[in-house]
Amino acid sequence: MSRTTAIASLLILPFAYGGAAAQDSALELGERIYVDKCEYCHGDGVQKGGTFMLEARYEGELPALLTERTNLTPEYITATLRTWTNGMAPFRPTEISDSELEALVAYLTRNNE
Amino acid sequence: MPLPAGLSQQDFDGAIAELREVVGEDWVFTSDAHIETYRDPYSPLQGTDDEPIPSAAVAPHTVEHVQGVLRVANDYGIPTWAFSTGKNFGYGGTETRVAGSLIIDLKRMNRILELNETNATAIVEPGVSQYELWQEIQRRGLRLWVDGPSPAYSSIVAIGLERGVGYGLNGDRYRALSGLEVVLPTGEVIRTGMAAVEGSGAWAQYPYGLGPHVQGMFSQSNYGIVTKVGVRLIPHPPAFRSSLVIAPNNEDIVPMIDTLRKLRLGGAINNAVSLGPHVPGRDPWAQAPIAAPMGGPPGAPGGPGGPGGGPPRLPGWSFRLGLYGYDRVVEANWEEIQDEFNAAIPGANYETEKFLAPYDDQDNWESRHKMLAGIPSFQETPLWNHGGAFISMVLPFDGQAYWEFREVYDRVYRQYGRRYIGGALHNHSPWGLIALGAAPVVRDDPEANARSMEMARMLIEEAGKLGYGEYRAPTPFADEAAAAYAWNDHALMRFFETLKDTLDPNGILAPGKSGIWPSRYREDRA
Ligand SMILES: Cc1cc2nc3c(=O)[nH]c(=O)nc-3n(C[C@H](O)[C@H](O)[C@H](O)COP(=O)(O)OP(=O)(O)OC[C@H]3O[C@@H](n4cnc5c(N)ncnc54)[C@H](O)[C@@H]3O)c2cc1C
Ligand code: HEC
Repeated sequence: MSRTTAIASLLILPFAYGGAAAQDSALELGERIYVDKCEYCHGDGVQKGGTFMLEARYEGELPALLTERTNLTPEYITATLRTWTNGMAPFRPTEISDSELEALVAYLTRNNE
Repeated sequence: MPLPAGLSQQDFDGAIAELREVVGEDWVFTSDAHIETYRDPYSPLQGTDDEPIPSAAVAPHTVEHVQGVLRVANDYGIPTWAFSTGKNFGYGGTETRVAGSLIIDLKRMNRILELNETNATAIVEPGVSQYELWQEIQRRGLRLWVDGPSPAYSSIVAIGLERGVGYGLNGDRYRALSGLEVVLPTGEVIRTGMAAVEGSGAWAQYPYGLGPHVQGMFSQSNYGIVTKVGVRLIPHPPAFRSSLVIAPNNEDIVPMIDTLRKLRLGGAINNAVSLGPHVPGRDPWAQAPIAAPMGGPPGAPGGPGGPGGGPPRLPGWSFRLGLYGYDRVVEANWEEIQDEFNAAIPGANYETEKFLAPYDDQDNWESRHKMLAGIPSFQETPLWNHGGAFISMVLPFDGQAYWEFREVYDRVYRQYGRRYIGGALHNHSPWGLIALGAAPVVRDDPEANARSMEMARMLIEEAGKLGYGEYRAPTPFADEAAAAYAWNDHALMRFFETLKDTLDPNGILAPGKSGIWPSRYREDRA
């Protein structure tokens, strides 16, 4: 095959969630967004800048992985994602919509006491 | 949020309602929380009365949407500014020149229209980031690399249009573009190069087409909104060697540059090498210390923003080079390269690693290797915990010229209580060097930032006296940057203005970009 032509709407795009969102629970949606848009910085593995920075900041007092945190509040997550925090640029509504942000909050606060 | 100058609240509300009709209710943003995400945290103007805060943002999803948005802007005379991914930190972020501008956020236009492994090309929309293209390449299992700037969330389209730099074989990002689709400010759509042929069969393969080569007119300009580009990718080579060359002493930068030029011009080294002060243990893109290498707050090690007062730290220098091709050729080249540096720089030393195709483990490579190959990585960006505006000059590829330039920059830095040890030195090509400096920006300290702006202006002025100008201007310094290009009483700027007034009669697209102001603003400013 000399030419591969395809119109690909990337799976990670906001509008691709539209239909699925209805069936998915907020938690599942939140996890899916997290894997697509957060893990490359906050995951566990080689040179993940977010994990590296949080490790340096908390020095073991809190987990460096966001998925292991139990103290993140909805207000804190929302403010962090919509404003500039040192190493993390704000996410615009074209990158994470308000409803996607709610799903992310649900996911990241699922283990809170 | 401020309204566009000369527009009543009623007219503004009318325009917003029309924009909602064009793109849909959900894709026009006016709330404070949303507009906050379009302010530039790196801006030296942040928090001052001069910060041009936008009035609203609109997010088209199709070319027709872009045309519709421009129609509304023309009807109401609203200044706009288009961004692809809006991550241009250090050169303006999503800051505009005019308060109350309408941001056109193209992130939703993120289709990959073609991905061709055989020819190593793609056709993409502006919202596609390097990282997203890479994810798609991975998903399809193609043997291609991308190349691009260190922030992996940057747009393939924007980084090409801004003539930014990557680190691999396609480091000159403008030259990786081939064929544009552009919506002109009046709403007309054109395609350039081979893309203008009906049913174009070679869009991304040959940028020139027939007649005047106008692709460049849409780079660093305010003449149109680019909605598609052809882009060249990199096929996996049979062998890839990633090497660090270290020169122990500060003065070694002169022979290092001259030897590198010889090897670049001679074809032994073909990637867009970036040189920098060598902080021992800090290989570029290895796990870096949190204090940034450049432009950092007073006290940061080894960079131009380094300690004010006290003896400066004078590190040696290092750079990373990639060798790509047949294994035996790569190995022979590597031998010759070491011989050249050993002869020029006593005590030169090396770290090196070789990879052989197939690159099944490439996702787990360290960033330093990924950057040279052209695999997007998020390693550097998150480690920057401060802002700054890059003042980056084009120099000849010449060690002595750089040495003299550095003294001039350092003299200016000293006046502001800082030192210029030397920033990153990029080379798009073997002929020119881009020397980076940075005016630091401190959050919530408008006074310090005002002094920084003064320093930035003086850097531009002093470099101008040496005959140098910037390769790319941070938005708030665009006028000063453009003023350096003054030959024949600013004839080039008059030409830019003639084009601007012809293509954008109402002056609605990115007024002031690269110092180019439409006539209605020129009259106001005169
Ligand atoms: C730590 C750090 C490292 C960096 N490293 C690099 C590097 O290695 N190489 C490098 O080049 N830069 C680098 N930069 C500078 C800059 O941050 C990047 O180049 C950035 O990724 C570009 O952002 P973007 O692609 O989102 O462009 P955008 O913000 O989307 O666009 C930038 C400008 O291009 C124009 N533009 C964008 N899209 C269009 C369009 N569709 N039509 C017409 N005009 C358009 C607009 O004028 C816009 O203002 C670095 C910055 C920092 C802070
Ligand atoms: C480009 C890399 C990057 C990406 C992508 C990223 N982050 Fe971050 N994030 C960081 C860094 C770096 C920090 C630490 C910033 C600091 O030190 O202030 C951080 C901090 C945070 C914090 C604050 C933690 C604390 O204890 O203060 C939260 C919450 C967070 N990120 C959530 C997210 C979510 C959710 C996403 C995905 C939508 C995401 N991040 C994507 C780099 C990233």
